[in-house]
Amino acid sequence: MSVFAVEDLRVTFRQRHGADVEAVKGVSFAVEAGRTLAIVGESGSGKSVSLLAATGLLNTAGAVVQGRALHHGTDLVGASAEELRRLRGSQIGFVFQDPQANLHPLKTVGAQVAEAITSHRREPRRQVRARVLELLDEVGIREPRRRIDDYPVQFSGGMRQRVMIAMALALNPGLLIADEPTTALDVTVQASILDLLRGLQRDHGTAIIFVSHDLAVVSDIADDIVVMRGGVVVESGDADEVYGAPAQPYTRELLDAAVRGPAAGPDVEAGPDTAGGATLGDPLLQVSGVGHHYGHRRARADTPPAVSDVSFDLRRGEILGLVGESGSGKSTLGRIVAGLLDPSAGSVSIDGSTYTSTGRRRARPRLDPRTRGRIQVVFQDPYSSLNPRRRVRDILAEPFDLHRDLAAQELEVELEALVNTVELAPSILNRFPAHLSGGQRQRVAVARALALSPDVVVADEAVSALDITTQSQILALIRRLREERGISFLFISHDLGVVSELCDRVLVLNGGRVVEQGRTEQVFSAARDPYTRLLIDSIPGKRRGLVRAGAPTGEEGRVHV
Amino acid sequence: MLTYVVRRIGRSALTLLIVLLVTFVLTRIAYRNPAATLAPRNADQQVMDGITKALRLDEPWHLQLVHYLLRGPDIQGAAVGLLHWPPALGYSFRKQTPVTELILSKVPVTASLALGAVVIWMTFSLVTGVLSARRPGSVTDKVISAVAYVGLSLPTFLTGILLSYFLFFKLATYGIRWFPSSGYVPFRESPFEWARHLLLPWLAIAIAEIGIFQRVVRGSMLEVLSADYIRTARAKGLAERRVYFDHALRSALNPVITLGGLELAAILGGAIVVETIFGLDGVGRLAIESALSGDYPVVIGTTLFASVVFILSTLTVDVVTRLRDHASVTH
Repeated sequence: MSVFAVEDLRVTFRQRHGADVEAVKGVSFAVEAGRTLAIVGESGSGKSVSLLAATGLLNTAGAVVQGRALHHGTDLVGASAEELRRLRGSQIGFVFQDPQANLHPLKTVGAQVAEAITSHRREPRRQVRARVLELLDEVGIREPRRRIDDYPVQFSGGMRQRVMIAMALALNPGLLIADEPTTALDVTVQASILDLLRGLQRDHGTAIIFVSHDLAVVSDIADDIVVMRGGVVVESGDADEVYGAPAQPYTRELLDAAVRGPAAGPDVEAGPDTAGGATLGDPLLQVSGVGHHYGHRRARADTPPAVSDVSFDLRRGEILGLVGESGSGKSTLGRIVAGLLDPSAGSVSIDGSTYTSTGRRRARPRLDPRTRGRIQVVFQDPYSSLNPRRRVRDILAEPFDLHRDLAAQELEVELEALVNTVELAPSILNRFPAHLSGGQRQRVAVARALALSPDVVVADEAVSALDITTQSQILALIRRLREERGISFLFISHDLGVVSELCDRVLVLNGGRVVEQGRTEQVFSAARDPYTRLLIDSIPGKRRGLVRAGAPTGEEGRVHV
Repeated sequence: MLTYVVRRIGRSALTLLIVLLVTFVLTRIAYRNPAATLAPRNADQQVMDGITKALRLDEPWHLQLVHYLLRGPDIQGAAVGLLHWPPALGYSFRKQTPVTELILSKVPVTASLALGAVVIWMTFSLVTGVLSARRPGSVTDKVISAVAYVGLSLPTFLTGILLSYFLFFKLATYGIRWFPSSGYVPFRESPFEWARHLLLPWLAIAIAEIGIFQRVVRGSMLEVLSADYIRTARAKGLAERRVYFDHALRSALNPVITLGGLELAAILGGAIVVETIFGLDGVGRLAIESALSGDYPVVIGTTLFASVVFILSTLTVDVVTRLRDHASVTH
């Protein structure tokens, strides 16, 4: 008998206004002890909803769940709240996506792990604490005795996720449901979390359901695969079969999107001819000796600088990748280049004129409007970077209002051209960000950046919060904009896979310093720095051949240095 | 943290000085001829001159302020001067008592009133707020919100009068004398009588405050309940009671603490209406009586007292929230 099986599960959200929304339309899957089932699909495919619904965690009013969810043969769909509560935590453990949001900020990690035990068992305090220490040690938290009374904020993202895993495994449940557990994490951390899950499964024989949007991430851990789209199962089967010979075109599409490595496409080759008429190789932006130190002067002695002595050129029509893990200083550097932060040392100039100052520091540097128009930013999370109370029209019209004096009709023409550029329909102008998908929102964010025809766009983790298929669409959009308009991009990402696919050149940042730079294929195929090699090795999907060889193909025609 | 508190106290001293300056000037404008107001009804010119001299009313107002701040004249043996220890706030000719002594004698009444009321209104607000937030839009939520809204809308003097009419007067006509309508019994004399005498005033204050706080708790809870870590708590199999009262309420408490500090300070500084209705001889009554009768040293004294209470309460609130956030924001 399967540890957990879902049969013909349907989830419908009853709407007060308008038609009901059927989020999950008859889904079936099962997982056996000691095996890992990967459920793969984009956001909105119903993969998380079906699992939450099956375990009684769907906290939405008006959700109707039908079908069967069998845990060791007991149906959970009709079960009482108390029965479900008793199962959760003791028989079924959960690990969710964003460990920062999923841990209580005002409770110590020790207390939170202990709760996982005390919710189900009465045990003396000392015994619980001993077990918590044991668990923290098992999930790889160093010096658990010292960390047990710390708050989540004192942990890094990866360590927080380890705490989440300790919580999920506290009572050694037979089933672990991991919903995008590595999506918010750095690529090296992701690799270590995957290792941890594999090890725990080996030791305890836990059945794992691993939900992800990325076929590459689950490739090393999955025994069986279920591909979902629009609330239905598109394809399911043994992992070897699905990766080896996908039966459905959609699975094929997901697989293609999951492939990482330097792209050797004709689109890149066409670069120099169409890059807005400007010759690639013409230095546009110069960063020389930039450093930044956060905090007060007194505190600086203790903390290392966020960025130190970074120099590089960004050429016209070039896409330069800036890679590093969280804390590497890449975002600080991006903010300095974007003129949102003044460096402590060094300078940044565009076309030879310096726009940063290291003198008396203001809270926020003020760029002159012309330079501001030339350098724009796209931020990571399109869910929080767009004001939810403003229509897309108002969001996009703002740059024009601030920098150009346009009549209403002219503005309308500009706005339509703008949404057209980012491949959206004009009707989107009247909608609020909440009505848009993640990909649409990020397109709006790109459109906003493009409004003033900038020369340089700083894309700070611009695709990291997106589904993998949406990612590849946005990457294609960036490539097209570079070719058609000759815009230079500073593409900041923790994901070397994405960077290698898009960028002409790569800069690897570690601890605020550039440890490696060069042409993408070169860095990718023959990294000199051990840290760069570690990053490359952590790119998921090697086992299934989802990582392209670093060797350049047809690179001779490329012009960039 | 310590430097923070010290810096805050420094800034508070400045605030107090400004409050003093403003009230000083205002009382000088409001009471044209203080000596005449303060003197007994049939006082002769000699007594008036004596008062004028004692209060240095013949000097310009800024010198009077200096006297008030630094050790000024001794009036009937009572020191005047804010800047010596213990701070002296002057002398009330009306009551023939030093102002500091006068205010301190009224503090137990007002403090009993405020602290008892805060316990009642916080308990009710937390419970009903959480109950409302459990199922927003449900019958329970609607009923609680409606009742709270009525409590909020009724002016305190009306709830006070209604309470004493029904619970004192009506009951008394049937011979039931559970709730006295006025008076104060010190806690040390009889805790039971103390609570019995204060129950109606407590309710009068609490009814209005519950109307505010129930809404604050509800709104704050609703926001927190949609957080991911609440789902995590449920995923652990935590009982709903602990999800609501431990996990959710813990995070939802910040706005409640902030607002609670302000409301508590306002009542501690003198709950004029309730003290008057229920015949409680507290700081609020002292303030209003002195203002109406022109006993301006007491007016200044009660104003300063209210400011000090406000400053201390906001300081406490800020320290508490900082300590709570310390866990979640900084290292």
